[in-house]
Amino acid sequence: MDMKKVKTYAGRLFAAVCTWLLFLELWNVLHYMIVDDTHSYTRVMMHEYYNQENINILFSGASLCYRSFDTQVLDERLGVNTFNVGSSSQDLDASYYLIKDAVNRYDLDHIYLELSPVMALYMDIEERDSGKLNGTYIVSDYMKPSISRTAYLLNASRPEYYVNSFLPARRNWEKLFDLAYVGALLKKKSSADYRDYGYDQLVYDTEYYAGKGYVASKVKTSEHAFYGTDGFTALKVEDINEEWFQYLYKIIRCCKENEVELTLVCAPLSEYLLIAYEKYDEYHRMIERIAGEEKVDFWDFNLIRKEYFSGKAELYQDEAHLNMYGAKNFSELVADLILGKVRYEDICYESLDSRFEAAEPGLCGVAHDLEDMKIIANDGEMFEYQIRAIPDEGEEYLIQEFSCNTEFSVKAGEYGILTIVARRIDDWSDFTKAEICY
Amino acid sequence: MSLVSLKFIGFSILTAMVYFLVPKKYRWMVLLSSSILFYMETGKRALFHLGMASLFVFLAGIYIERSPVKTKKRKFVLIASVLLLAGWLAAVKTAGSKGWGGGFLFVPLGISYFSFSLISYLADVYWEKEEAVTNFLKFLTYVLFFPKILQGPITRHKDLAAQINEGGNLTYKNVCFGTQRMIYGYFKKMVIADRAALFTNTVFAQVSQYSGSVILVASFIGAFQLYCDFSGYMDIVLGFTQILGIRMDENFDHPFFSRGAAEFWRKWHITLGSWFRDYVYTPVAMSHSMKRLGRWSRKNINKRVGNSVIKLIALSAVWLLTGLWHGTGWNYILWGGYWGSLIIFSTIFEPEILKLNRNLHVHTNAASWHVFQRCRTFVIFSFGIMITQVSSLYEIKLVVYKIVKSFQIWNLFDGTLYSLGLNRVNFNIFLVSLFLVGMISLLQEQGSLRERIGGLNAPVRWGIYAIALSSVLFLGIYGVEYGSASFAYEHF
Repeated sequence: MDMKKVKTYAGRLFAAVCTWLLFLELWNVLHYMIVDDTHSYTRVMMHEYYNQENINILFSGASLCYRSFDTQVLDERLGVNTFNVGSSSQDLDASYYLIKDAVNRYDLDHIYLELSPVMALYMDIEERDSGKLNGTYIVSDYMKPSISRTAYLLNASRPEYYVNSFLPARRNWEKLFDLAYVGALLKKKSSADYRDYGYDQLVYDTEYYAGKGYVASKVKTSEHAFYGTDGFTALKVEDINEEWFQYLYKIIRCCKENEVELTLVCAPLSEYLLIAYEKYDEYHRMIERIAGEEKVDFWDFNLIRKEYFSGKAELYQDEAHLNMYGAKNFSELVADLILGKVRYEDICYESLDSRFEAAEPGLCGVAHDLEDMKIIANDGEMFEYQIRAIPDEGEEYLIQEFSCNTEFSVKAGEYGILTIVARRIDDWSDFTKAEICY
Repeated sequence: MSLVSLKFIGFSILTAMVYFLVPKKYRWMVLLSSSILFYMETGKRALFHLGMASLFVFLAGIYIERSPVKTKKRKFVLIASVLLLAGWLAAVKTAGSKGWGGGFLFVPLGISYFSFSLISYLADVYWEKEEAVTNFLKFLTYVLFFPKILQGPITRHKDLAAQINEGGNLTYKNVCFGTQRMIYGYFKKMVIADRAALFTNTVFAQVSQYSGSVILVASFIGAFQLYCDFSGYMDIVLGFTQILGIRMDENFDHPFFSRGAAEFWRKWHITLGSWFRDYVYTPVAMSHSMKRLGRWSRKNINKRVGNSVIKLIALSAVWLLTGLWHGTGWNYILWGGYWGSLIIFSTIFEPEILKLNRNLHVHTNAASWHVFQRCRTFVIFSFGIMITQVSSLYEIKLVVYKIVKSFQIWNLFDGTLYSLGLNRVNFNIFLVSLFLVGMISLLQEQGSLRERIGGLNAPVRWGIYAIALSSVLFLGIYGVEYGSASFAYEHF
């Protein structure tokens, strides 16, 4: 080939590359102008993740992960660098690609993968719509461009979402024409805190970003006052999508290939949620079986003994997530386990049934599905319940006198406080009173 | 496979890559394979029907060619084949519109286009304009050629087959210009047409709910929507075939710059118009019976009537068939009659119209008159859109009534327009994009815009490419939030 031809081809290749770079830069500018990530935990978390000298221990998973593993406590106790790459609604495919990146980037010793039953049931790539894909985007938007990221996005959704996945500005395109919004956003983004990935914009009245992936919540749930949506249908292991298992095995394989130890973990859910799930033991046994077959450790803190972790409502911000006090206690316990000060077999029961047999019977809270309500209690058949409603607007009224019935309803669209008195059938002097906002 | 899908883009890229990797003489096989794959997406049954029709025409073509010229058998085979194809087309379209289904009475996608291609092939063989094909697979490649199968252009066999069989050349200019044209097509389709559809679908779904002013705006928007939809499709497929080094016929030549109905139809859906000219108008006008009728009229009435009666009959046949080609519903027949009457009137009474203009001292060469003529043509076209969009004769009357008696002009200013599927932002994007397309059309009238862009400084050129692609991706109406609309002419 003569030099003239080489020059021509080189020039055309250069032109194509320049056009492509211009195209990407244009989208970066659009992203900066219209995508408001000034309050994004993962933006800061991923920036910190890429700027660690080394990470020794990595925690990955969904919100239960980043709200349970307090990296500050763990760093202090273990004397190594821990990092939490947990993110809201993080499915196992996201965990897999994050772990894949981490094992290549850092000299990892150990990975703890949080396997919440909520996320196991939630994962269904075919069914991912714009809303569900937010769980993907809050991670992928801040991953560095790589083949791994591309593979993640190609596998994370159906093709009709690809443009939204690869060009995040498209998700918000109409905002470009809202000049007030663009102006306000540019102002927010020009702050030193935003530019320097500071925490000031990640501090709220009830919670804050505490660093290295951990988010601390100050909210405390009152005793017996959990109020959630789970409780009407039992957790069904058979409903878990095949993809969840595929990615779990991929993670296990990835860790083995890279000689990084892996421990599967279930962070402690509230007693309320475990009762509401009805069949949590089946989920536990399923992961236990996989862990046994794959020869990886499995720590299920839902089987924890009370003397090691009280599981009181005040340690939770809601029915699923620990608050900062709960996370501190829990992280101390995890540190003890890692340091070998306690043994998993000693601090946990073998099954949830055993745990509940040893636990005090009592009221946990109320599950709701629109106006339908259901009382959730440990050994609930031992109690009878009196239920009153104090609406925000209107007079207090009695829903039921003492009765064993646990299901009731309130008026549609009504808000207020439910007062529930749970009285033992065999001992009327033993009763509990709870006030629950509905 | 929708042309507005990543699947199609991936499919096109893959096809082009394989096409150029294969030696030139085998490239038609790549096109045949990809066309079969492409058409298979619409269903195996459709592919089977299309294959059988192609085989039938292929054999009929050979028979016609081998039969002695001017024999009755030869003519019979032609007429029988054409009637069979046209009958099949009419039957499935009627069945489709009436909701009858099953067996042979289902509508294979693109039937209006490929049946016309098959008829033109047979006629050309009969008239000895070309030789019959002897390789069925090559013939099938022409019939199935995926860029044209769904919406045309209705390219003649003799124009396209030679290029397909010879194999196109890979050139930088073709790739560059073809890609540019595809992006422009996507812009017209996704940014303008599909955006406009949000508005027109809302209004035309319930015309009784809206005032005359809103309906009028919807019909104007509908006109631009149809243009951007159909010409956008053409830009995509012609861009793609240009990348392959294959030139297909143009289907549009800035129709909204036309100054009359007849000129409009020479610039809109050009290949359909030329098909009707060559295979309906000319055979009808040149037939012995017409010639006899013309001679008789000239002799017994006068020369002008003698000439006009032939035009009248031939044009009536063309426009009745054009209406039926678009659909078998009454509104399409009415639409064909509407256009036919306008064109027949302007053709036959041309001397009177010119005389009237002279008497009224209209300066027909003045720019203002040209602008008026263009606006008039656009309004005529928009009214035609209304006829095809509504569902009953009652609704046509209602629309006319609303425009005349319940115009409610304030609806144009009180924000009503922004509540009909297009909010203010989308409405403005639509208008600005339309203005851009208008400017581009004006520039194209003065010469090749792509050549001009090619002559710009490299950074400016790259910037234009990057912005063009980004604007489609950023502003396009596509994806799950909207659901991508199919191309309008795909249904004909």
